[in-house]
Amino acid sequence: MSDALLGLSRYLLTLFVIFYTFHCFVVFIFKSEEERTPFYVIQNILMALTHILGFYVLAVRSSDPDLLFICAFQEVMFFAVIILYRMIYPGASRLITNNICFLLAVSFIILTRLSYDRSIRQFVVVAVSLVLTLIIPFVISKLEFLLKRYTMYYGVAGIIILLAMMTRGTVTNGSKITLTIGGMTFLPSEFVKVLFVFFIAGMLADEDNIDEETGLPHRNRIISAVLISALHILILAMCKDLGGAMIFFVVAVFTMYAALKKPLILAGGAVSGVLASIVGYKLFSHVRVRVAAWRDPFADIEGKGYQLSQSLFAIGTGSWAGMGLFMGSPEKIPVVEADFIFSAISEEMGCLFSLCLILICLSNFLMFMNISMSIGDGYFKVISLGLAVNYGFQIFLTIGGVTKLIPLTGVTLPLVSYGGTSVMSTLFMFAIIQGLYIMKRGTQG
Amino acid sequence: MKRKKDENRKNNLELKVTVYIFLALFLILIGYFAFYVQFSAPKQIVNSYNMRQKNLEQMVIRGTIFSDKGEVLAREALKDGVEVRNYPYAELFAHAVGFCTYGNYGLEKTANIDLLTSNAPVDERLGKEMAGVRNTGDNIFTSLNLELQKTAYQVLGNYRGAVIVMETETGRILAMVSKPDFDPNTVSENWAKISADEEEAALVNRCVSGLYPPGSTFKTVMLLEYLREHDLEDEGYSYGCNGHFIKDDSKIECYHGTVHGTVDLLGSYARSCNCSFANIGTQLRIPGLEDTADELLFNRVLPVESDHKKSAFVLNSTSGTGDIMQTSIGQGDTLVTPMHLCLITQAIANDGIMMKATLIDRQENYLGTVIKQQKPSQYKRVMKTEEAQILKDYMKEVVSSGTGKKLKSSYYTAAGKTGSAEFGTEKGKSHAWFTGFSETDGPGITVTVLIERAGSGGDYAVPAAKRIFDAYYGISGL
Repeated sequence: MSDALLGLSRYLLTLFVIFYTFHCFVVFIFKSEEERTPFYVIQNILMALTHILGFYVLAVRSSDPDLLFICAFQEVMFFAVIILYRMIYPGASRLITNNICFLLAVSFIILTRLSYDRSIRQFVVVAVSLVLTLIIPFVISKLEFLLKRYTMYYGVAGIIILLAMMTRGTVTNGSKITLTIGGMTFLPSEFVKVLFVFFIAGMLADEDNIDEETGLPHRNRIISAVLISALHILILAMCKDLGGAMIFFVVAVFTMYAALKKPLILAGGAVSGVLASIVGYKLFSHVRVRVAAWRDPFADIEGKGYQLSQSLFAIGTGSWAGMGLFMGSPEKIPVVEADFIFSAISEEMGCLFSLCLILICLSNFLMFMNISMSIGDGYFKVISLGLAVNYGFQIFLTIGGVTKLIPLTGVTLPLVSYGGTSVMSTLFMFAIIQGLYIMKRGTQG
Repeated sequence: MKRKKDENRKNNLELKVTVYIFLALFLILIGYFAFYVQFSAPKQIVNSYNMRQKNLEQMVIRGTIFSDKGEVLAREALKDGVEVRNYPYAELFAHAVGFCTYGNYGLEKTANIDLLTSNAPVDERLGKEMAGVRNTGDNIFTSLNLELQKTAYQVLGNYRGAVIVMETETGRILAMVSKPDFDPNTVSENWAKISADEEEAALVNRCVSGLYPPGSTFKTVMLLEYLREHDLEDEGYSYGCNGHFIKDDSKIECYHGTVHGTVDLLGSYARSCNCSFANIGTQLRIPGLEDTADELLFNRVLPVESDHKKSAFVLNSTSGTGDIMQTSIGQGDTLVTPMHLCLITQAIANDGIMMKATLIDRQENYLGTVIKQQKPSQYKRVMKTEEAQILKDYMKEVVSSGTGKKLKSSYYTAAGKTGSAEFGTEKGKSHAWFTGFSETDGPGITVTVLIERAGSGGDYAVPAAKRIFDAYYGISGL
């Protein structure tokens, strides 16, 4: 019996995730959360099944029954979050809460497969972050009017943090710049992302600072918003954090577009994006290296193209059904647990599984945009849009990178990749959006 | 109230645009990913750097490789209780079928993933997976014909060289032999020994990876270019051969100093007059010749499934007379692989259409259900039908009155071109070439023979080719 379950596990896991993903989109058909409830409950069950079966396979294949205890702890944590959110914030989006738990469950499975120690570390960070996120929506709604007051500080703080990172940070994995404070190592740019969105929204979409006649914020505010954004992006580019620079750029373009409502911004963003890419290509050798590896990773398969070819081999050999947990060789991909987690999932859990993950991420993005649309207040609308774009574009960059659609930029898959700062800041972003949703739902329209 | 709603809707225009842009991005991502997994990945993962192919062996018992008539060419077998790969014909298919015991090579490499994929009935597969038993991999049926392969193997004797036999209309490879060879059954034990001798290079499949000066076989390319520059008209040409041709301090001699006397274009080709072709070469438009060589896939990837080398054609508008003269007779820096020459010949015989060369006929699951059937597929037209027709007639003349006379047979019509390619600085030693085809009522074959350091093509390669044609048409004892 146990053998049978083991043999079927890769198909069962794929089935679970397909059903789960299906429900992610079914809920969009219904308008009210009440009507959506049965689907949310099914999702919770499927999440638990996926998580438990995954850990069962891990426990058997690695002959480590203790993993089942860890699984149990995690399961308790997931359901605590789901139930507590429901009790404390009945107005929160349950799809987002469910998806957080599902993506974390997948993350725990694959991280435990790759490195037991790291998965435990990730578990601890996630647990702490989740407790904090329980407060964030509450804080947001209480500080609503305070938030806008410090707009300028967000921008300045962002610059200071990035400068500190540039001068005092250490480089890991070629592009990640970490800062160590009091023995804790973290990626500062992850938190600056959140500040950055608040900054632009405050500068350009604060209704108290909008000129009645033109319907636009004062010119000085626009200019300083553009300059400070450019400074953010420039510092990141100089730190060789290309992924970070691109995400900030795209967030800046879309938030400015949403705040100022000028289609020209999108066109200008596209043009300047292309120009910046060309300049970056000409200026920085590390950009050229990445582009060369992207064009033909197999040309320098033992050198610059190694990582990407390994990733492609992993995805291709795993194919739709996957090799099964512990049956592939994801450890051959350098930094597999962070930037290349998608390839590891594809290899062992199957490309159907990972395709569903993309769709789940898409459903998150759509939910965020849904929330943004439902908010009447321009300031909060732009904040939620900025966070949504940040999330959506990061997904595109990381998955596009490891599958050779676009050159590698070295960003993580939010909530799934290993990395304390990344998972914490993502959970905060999700919680902020939840807060905005709860706060603004029903107050308008 | 209504105004407020309108305003809200207007407020959301930018958000909708954002949603559509991102939906497009995600669609591209998903579409690309699905396409990659389904279509691109299967071709990429057979890369020998992909160590993950070994992982598949934990789940699937490698399939069997068969000849066209169902003889086993490679299979899993037990030796002293250990599963090993067994090659019943040992050296005979060393380069064509290859091995999977010390890295992957040959067909064992190109078809690796198919052999390690089980398309057994779903219930059986699930049952075995549940029981923790390996499934049975798919079988590969090749187009290789045991009799022709044996003949091709014998005609090379102890020489180094390459023989390819291809079905003209389909591009199916019926035999492919490269010597020296090795026993794939023991290749991993003897690896150090086999790979040590670089001069022997027994691990190189000379059919696809051996680059040789084409010698007079290149005159076919020169002839085609001449015809193209003269509206397919060959009547105005005449040349008086006195055994050597001199221009701009460069000198070309006919093979063994033969004096051909006055020859027309047909005679120049059939009797392989070097001086006449050197003369032609100096009159042709080099850019035109470049285009023709390019169209015939010089310096390009060939329509072949396996790893292979690109042939080299190096003339350009700055080339000197000496280089042009050397190239005109297939010497100098011009290099071809036997497979390339075979494909060009096949295209000529096939009215100008080059086929994709294939070794795999079909993939079956272990119960005999066809999973993938290879259909003959045209690569592209490389010359006009009329051009091919003239070249065919010229090649027939080679057999009826020229350097290929030894190929005459009352059972079939054969045509072709010989070559005696000098190599390195050694004078008097040459590689013997023959490339040609047969034409009868049934489907004909294209045969390319290269025998290293044997002598003239007419004396060594043509008789070898004849034995292959004879074997194909079932004529024995000749």
